[in-house]
Amino acid sequence: MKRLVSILKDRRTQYCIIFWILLLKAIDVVARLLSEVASLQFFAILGFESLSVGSRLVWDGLLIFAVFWLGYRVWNDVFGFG
Amino acid sequence: MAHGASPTQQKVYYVEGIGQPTYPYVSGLGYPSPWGLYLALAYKTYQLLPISSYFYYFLIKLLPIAGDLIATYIIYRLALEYTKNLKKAQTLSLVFFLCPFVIFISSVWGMFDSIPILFTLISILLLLYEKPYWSALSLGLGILFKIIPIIYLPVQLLFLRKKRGVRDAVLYLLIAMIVPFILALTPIIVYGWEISEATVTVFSQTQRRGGSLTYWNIAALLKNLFPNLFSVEILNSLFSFPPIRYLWILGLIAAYLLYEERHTKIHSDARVDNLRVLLEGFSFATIGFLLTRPFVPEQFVLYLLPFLIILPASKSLKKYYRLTWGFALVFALVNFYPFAFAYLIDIEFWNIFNYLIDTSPFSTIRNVIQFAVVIVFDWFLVKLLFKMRKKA
Repeated sequence: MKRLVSILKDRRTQYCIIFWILLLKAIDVVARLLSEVASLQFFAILGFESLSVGSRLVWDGLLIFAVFWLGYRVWNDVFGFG
Repeated sequence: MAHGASPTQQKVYYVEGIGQPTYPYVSGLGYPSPWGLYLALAYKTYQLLPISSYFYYFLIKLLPIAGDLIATYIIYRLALEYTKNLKKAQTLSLVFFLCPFVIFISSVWGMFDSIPILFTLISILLLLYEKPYWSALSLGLGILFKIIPIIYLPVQLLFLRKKRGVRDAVLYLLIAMIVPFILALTPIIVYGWEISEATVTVFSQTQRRGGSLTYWNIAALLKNLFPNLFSVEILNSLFSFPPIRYLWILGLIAAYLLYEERHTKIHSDARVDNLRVLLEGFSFATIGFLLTRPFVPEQFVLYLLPFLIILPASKSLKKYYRLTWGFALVFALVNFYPFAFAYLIDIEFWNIFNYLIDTSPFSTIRNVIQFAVVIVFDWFLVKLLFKMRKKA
C-alpha cells in the first residue's frame, strides 16, 4: 500500500494518468466525429456514446477532475507556485 | 469463407461433419482476414481430399505448429546472440518448443498466436542486424495476423529513435502501419466484403467484457454467486466504463515509460546490449498489457514466453518462466476441462462440458478455482515486473 501511495505521489505518474484520461476523451471525440460520416459509422464502437446515465456522470466528473488536476500540476511544476 | 462469405459475418453456419453440431452457427472471426483466408484454404484442400474431418483439423493446426517450429529457430538465433553459447541456445529454444503450454495452444486448441509471435521475433532479429525496414515489414505482418503485436511498435520506435534518429523511426512507423492496412484491405475489396462489418468485428475486441486470465474474471464469479445483484446489464455497464475498458492503454504507457527510463541508461552499441534492451521493453509491454486488459485469453501469455526464455541470466528469473506458463496452463485446463476438445471424438464430451460449466456447484467451483489461479498468476506477473525493473 505504501508503495502504491508513493507511486501515485510521483509527478510523472500523475502526468501519465492525466494524459491517459485526456487521451480517452480524444478517442471518444475522434470516434464520434468519424462516425458522423455515413461510410465510417462503425467508428462509433470505439466511443462512449452507449454509457449509462450513472457511468456518464462519473466519467464526466473524472474528466473535469483531470483537467483541474492538470492545471494544478502545471501551476506547480512550470510556475513553481503551490 | 471458402464459399465467398466474409470472415466477419455475424453467423457462420455449421457444416455437416465438421465443428460443433451443438450450435447452429458460430460468430465471425474478430481478426483481420489472413487467418480466415487460411481456414478457407484448409477447407478447400479438405474438399479436394475429404479423407476424414480429422484431416481438416490437422490442416487448421498445421500453420500454428509451423509457426511454433520457425519461432523456435528464431529464438535459437536470438539466444545465440544473447548467450554466445551454442548449447545454451539450443536448450533455450527447445525449452520453448517443448513447453506444454505452447503445445496446448497450437496443437490442441489450434490457436494461431505463434504466427504473430513469429513475425514479432523476426522483427527483433532484423532490427538487431541493422535492417530496420525489413523489421518494420515483419512487425506489420504480425499486426496483420492479430492486432496484438502493435503493442511492441512503440518499443521498436523508441529504440530506433535512440539508435538511428527520428527519420528512421518515422519510416519504421509508416511501414509497420501501412503494410497491414493495405494487406487487410485488399481481400475486403477483392471479395467485396462489407468493410463496416469487418471493422466492427475487429474493433469489438476493444470492448470485450472482463474475463479469462485476468483479475476481472471476478465478475464471472460474482455473477455466479449473486446473479440478482450482478446482472449482465450491471457488468456490461462496468466494463464499458472508459477507464476500465481502456485501462490497458495506461498499462502500456507505464510500460513504455519504464522502458524509456531504462533505455536512456544504456549507451552501448554491442548487439547483446541492444537485444537486452529490446527484450526488456517487449517484456514490460507484454506484462503491462496482461495486467490491465479487462479480457485476457490464455493464448496471450504465449507472447511473454520467448522474452522470458532468452532474457533471464539468473535462476531466480527462470522460475518465473515456469510459473507463468504453468499457471496459464492450469487456468486453461480449468476453463475448458481437459476433455472439452474431445467432442471431436464423441459429441457427448461437449454436452458434458456444457453441463459442467452451466450447472451449480460445478460452475461455482470452476469460477472459484479460475479466480484463485488468476490472482496468483497476476501476483507473479507483478513480482516479475518489479524483479526485472530491479535487475534491469
